[in-house]
Amino acid sequence: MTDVLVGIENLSRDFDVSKPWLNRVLENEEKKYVTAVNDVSFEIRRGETFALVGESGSGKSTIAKLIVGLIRPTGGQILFDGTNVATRGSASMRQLRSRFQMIFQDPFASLNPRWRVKDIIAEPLRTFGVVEGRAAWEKRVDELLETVGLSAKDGAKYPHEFSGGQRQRVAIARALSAQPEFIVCDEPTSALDVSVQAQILNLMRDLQDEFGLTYLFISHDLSVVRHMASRIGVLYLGRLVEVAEGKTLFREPKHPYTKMLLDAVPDLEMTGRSRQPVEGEIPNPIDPPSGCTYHPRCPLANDRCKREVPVLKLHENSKAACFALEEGRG
Amino acid sequence: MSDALLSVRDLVVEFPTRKGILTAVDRVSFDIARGEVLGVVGESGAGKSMTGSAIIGLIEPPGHIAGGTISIAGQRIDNLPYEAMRRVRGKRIGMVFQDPLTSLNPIYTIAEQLIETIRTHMDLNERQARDRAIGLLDQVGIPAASRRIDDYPHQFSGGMRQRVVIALALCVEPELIIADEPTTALDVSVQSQIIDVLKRMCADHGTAIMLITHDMGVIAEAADRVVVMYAGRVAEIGAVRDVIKDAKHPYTKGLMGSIPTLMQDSDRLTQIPGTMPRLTDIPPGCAFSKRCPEAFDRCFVEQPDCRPYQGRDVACLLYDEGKPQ
Amino acid sequence: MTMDSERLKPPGLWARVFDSDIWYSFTRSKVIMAAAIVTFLIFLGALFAPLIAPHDPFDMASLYLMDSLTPPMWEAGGNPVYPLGTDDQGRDILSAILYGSRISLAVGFASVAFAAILGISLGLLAGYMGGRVDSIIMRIADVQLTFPSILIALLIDGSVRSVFGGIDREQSAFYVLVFSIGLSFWVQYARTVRSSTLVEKDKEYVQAARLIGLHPLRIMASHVLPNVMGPVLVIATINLALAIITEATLSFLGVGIPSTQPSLGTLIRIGNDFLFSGEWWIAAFPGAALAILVLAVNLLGDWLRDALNPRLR
Repeated sequence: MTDVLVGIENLSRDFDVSKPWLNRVLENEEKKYVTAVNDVSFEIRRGETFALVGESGSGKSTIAKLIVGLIRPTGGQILFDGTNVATRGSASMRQLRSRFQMIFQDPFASLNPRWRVKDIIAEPLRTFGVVEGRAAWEKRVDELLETVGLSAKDGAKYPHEFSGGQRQRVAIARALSAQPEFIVCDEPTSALDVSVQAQILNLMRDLQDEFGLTYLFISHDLSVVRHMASRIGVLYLGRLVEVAEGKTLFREPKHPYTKMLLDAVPDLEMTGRSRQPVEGEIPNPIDPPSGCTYHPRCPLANDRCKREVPVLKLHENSKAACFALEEGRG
Repeated sequence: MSDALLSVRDLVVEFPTRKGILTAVDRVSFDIARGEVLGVVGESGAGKSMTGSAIIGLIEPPGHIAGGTISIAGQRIDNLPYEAMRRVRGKRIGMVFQDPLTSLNPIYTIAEQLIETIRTHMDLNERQARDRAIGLLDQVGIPAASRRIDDYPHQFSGGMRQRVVIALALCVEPELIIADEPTTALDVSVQSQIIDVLKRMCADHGTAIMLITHDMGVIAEAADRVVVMYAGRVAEIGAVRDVIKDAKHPYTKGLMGSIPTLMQDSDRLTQIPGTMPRLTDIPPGCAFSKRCPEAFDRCFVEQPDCRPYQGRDVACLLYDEGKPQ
Repeated sequence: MTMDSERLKPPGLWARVFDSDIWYSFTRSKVIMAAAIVTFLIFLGALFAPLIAPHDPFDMASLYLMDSLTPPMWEAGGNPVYPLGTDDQGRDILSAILYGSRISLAVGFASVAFAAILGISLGLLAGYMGGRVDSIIMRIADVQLTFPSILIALLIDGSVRSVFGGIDREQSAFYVLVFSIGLSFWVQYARTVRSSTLVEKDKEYVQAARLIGLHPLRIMASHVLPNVMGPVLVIATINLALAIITEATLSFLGVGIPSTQPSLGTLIRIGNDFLFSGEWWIAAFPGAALAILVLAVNLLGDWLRDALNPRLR
């Protein structure tokens, strides 16, 4: 058993955003593609929480869906415990599927409004045949409800009878029911109020300790990521620009984009620190800038940055993709 | 305070439902001084948006203002007939909403929308109004404003659209702007830009802002004073620095403890047990009593009034004279 | 730590029905309640026709040719034994209406059910699978919509008859009619279900189901279907009225239910021949019955659509 549970190698995904065929013919246009994920590679070690941070257009949600198999990559591969996920036949894929799960962002859309909560939670359990017989799975559902902080009686209710935070607990119970090793959490608390978020984050950490889970935690909120993750990857327009241990990333950010992101986080400690004004906005992914896609907004950009694409290289304790760092300018 | 710009006193907003009367806003009082930024913060269902809607007079029937007063510079506006309120809205109070996509009419250019608003409330001709509009777009940071003014809303990015909305809100020099979750739909880096624009524009034009949000970080960056709301009632009002660093109301303390920050290095976030009660289900006495770690017997019976304490207003029996020590 | 465990047991089904917004709006409108009662009575009458009809109009042996063309009982020459008069074969009009409603309703329900099942299945398939499947199904639907439903029904009726020439017309008429009327109505269901499916398919609960590797058909049936059924009920109710009218029209034209076991439409056709020779009751009463039935069902359908529309609540 290696230490690496999930290995992502040169993962890429393009989306076809061309206009319909007739329009293209009449307007004499080419097909257009958006590269949502561009040559991304990283590893997730057993038992850790790896976070992917980025703003809109960064590709973080796309990566989440690629990893769990909801969409197929256009390039690269995904290795789960050494096995290439894409090449699996359907029989062994089923075995593999029982080992990972996902928690979604929207607590209102992630539970089927017409199903009772206990059926929702039991579905993975019953699909993978983890327990036999009605009595057994009902008992397990009751246990799961208690584990996530709800009551066994809540099983007979429908999702609309619960608040956002409670629904997210149900979603967590569902994710746990087939006893997975790996859970992808796609912005699990972004739609929740702050005090509810605290409850859910604490719950997730407790569950991780209790069941030895590995998390891929996706978020746009750096403060949450700081609290939850051991290692963090920063995405910009589909590329990984920096990967580092949590503490290192926040104390010594290397990539200019990471520094800008940290600067933009509101100052709740009221230190009164002065902020570097943020330059520009995220460019349109259909027509990204050449070379290093961050160069229009980067205070350290030079000619090379406009022509070539930097790759992740080790700089002290972090990996970052930046020419300024390589050339000793950053 | 007689020189306050906006004065809200004991505001009550009710919704008659089949199951009885739902009180969405329960005797809320606060002031906004000229040129100040007042944050109104609370979680969902706390009543902060409803308060904003009440001030602008845009509460959806059958909801209505059932009590209290709202005044601008001493003049009551909560009891105005529709036409009069319409003139106040826009001229004296501007609005910035959460979703810039729906705040702007997609079938008209920015120029048309700005000029229409300017000419409705100000006596300028087409040319003058257009110049003014371009000037505003420049101020909010739209590059090449004189060219982009003829673009349609969908041709702008989210952050740019929100800047346009801010320009639109400020174009007739209102005395107050009500901004309801203006940054929630935006990326973090754009959020900080928009907060800066909002603060700068209002400082330059002398406009006060009522900043409604659930995001305490935005309040910390932008507001001078803050009103913390819970279950339709005011929990605490004070200077932002005071409330954040030294909260008095147990809810505010819990709230601040549950927010993860970049500096904090602890293992667990403070969590407040339970959830905010539904507005149809508020317990007697203090709305927070069931979740409060410091509740005592009076809390379950008496609803606390918002009273001054050490330079701020708190609605908590702990700070009431005569409480058991 | 448990939250909210102090909640009471969820209320029972009847408690929820009578407490719901739908029941509330139902009891507020006198017209709707009247329509519902009328419909209910007609249903009952049709259901228990053999028990409550004074005569059996289809039993050839029990007909007295001598009693044919008797006027309704309040007219001169009327007979209380035949309250609404008789037709040219001595059949009691009242009994004929009761039995005829039965057939009209049976055809109505069956064709709506057929159309619904066909339409829902195709709509789900088109919406969920997308791509080619969606295009093919929707193009067929578009083409079909250009034809008026009567025309389609006639077309199918004629084709079936010529293909299966030897079949006993009386036995097959019911099934052919259900098939042809149903086939002309499925498109509405398909379209509504398809657009709802398009919305639901992107929701996270469907993604969660795909995540655990469930077969698409299984996902469509157990996850998506319950969530797209809402508008179907409304369409079905309104369709019922239309189906009954369509059947009546076809029978009137002579290609529907034959006159040995007449539906309301057939009765009207029979009565039509006698309308101008003075025996008005043979056409009038079945006509009135048909109109009342269709009106009541239509009103119910309208109300249901408004009651279930979340934006109007």
